[in-house]
Amino acid sequence: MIPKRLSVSLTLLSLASLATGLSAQRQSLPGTKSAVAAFDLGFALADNGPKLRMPTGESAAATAPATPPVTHRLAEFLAGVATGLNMPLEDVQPLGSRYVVALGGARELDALEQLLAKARTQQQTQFELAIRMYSLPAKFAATKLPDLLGVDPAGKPARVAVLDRAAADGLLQALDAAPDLDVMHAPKVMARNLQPVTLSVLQYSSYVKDYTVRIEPGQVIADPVVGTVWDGFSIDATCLELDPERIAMRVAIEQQNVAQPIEERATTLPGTKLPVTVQVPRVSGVRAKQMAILGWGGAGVLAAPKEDGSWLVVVTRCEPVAK
Amino acid sequence: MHAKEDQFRNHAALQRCFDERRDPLDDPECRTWLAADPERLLAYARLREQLDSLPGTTVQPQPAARPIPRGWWSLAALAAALLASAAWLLRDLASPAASAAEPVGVVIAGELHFAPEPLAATVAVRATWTMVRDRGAALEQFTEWSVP
Repeated sequence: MIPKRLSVSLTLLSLASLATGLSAQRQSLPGTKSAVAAFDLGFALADNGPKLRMPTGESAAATAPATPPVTHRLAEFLAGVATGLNMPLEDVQPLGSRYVVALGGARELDALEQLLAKARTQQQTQFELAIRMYSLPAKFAATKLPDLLGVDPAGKPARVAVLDRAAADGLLQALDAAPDLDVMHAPKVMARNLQPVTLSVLQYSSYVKDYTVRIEPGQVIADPVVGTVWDGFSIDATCLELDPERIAMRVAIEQQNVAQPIEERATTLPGTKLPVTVQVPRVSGVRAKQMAILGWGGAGVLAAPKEDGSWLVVVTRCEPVAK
Repeated sequence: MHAKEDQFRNHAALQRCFDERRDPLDDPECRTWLAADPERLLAYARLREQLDSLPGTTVQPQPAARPIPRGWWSLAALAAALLASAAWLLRDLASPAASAAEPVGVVIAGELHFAPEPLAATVAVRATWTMVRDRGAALEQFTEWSVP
């Protein structure tokens, strides 16, 4: 929810930005120490990263994983980065399809402005995000994870961890050597500085989900309604170089499996006695989201035990490609 | 008003049903009285039609006296399934104690969502359970299925 004072300022600033063509406009708010600033992120909107889609069903777009608009993702990312750098902003909101608007103190807005100016000049910097999603046996997780990820105050393996290069190397080597380990997915994504990138590898299946009924003289006809469901994974990532030692990273992963074959059920259509057979897909999956400030070569880790005692572990590692 | 319909004003059981917002067809005495005279029954049908057309004057049917529509059975079955699923999702919240040797999942938050479409042949149900929720980080599992 945008505060009223911010909402008013947004309108003024959007008009000012359009009128002057400047990349950033700032306006103090009377009676407060806060100001509101609009930033032109047009330089970060070109999504030139790898984008792979393999739709095999019709109407595939209708059921694709939902990805928020780019400025929404950037606003969330920049708010997180500011907080991570101990320069928290009061609010960051998307403004149209090109701008974000930030509300905060002068010092915090200065820091954000400098960060974005640097990102603009270094927009050719590239990162390789290597993501691995594991299912770990319970015994391995119980004995090894505390040493690899550290422990929480209760003495159990940490569920969220940020590792430096050496610790990330140790974790990945230990996981590669683990017996009965299931690597669910291991995609790699290339990303440019502050340019959100998406990667989706999806397999679509069509199924009969419903029927429409039409009445013609002497007969009732049921026409099947075909739905689509996807199986695969989708990644949405953004990286930003903060200084020669650190980067900020935000990654969202959605992985989904469709049980095959799709189960069929006999039923009657509501309001009729017409017997029909519908297909009832069962899907299951994982959603993971992490935002972290990492050293070069470091990794962000999410880990959690599943119902059967095995552990789900998601490791996202970021390496520089070209600077 | 027809003569047959005038009889309704003087029939105590019928008026009592109306006063109590009950359907006279659910009352054995009224049912016997109406069924005894086909013309009276026809007049009652006309009266009921007129009553139904007036806002706020419809009589409430007694659920026990009529067959429950198929849709209600479906909703009842769905509600039972949802309760069972919710109990399954949240059972670890009720018993968080787990031995360190046998780590089991601990649900931080569970969410069950179902989207009934009145004219659809199936109802979609989605269950989500969050395993990690920290600053800027989240890890959750989900499953989605349909029931006819």
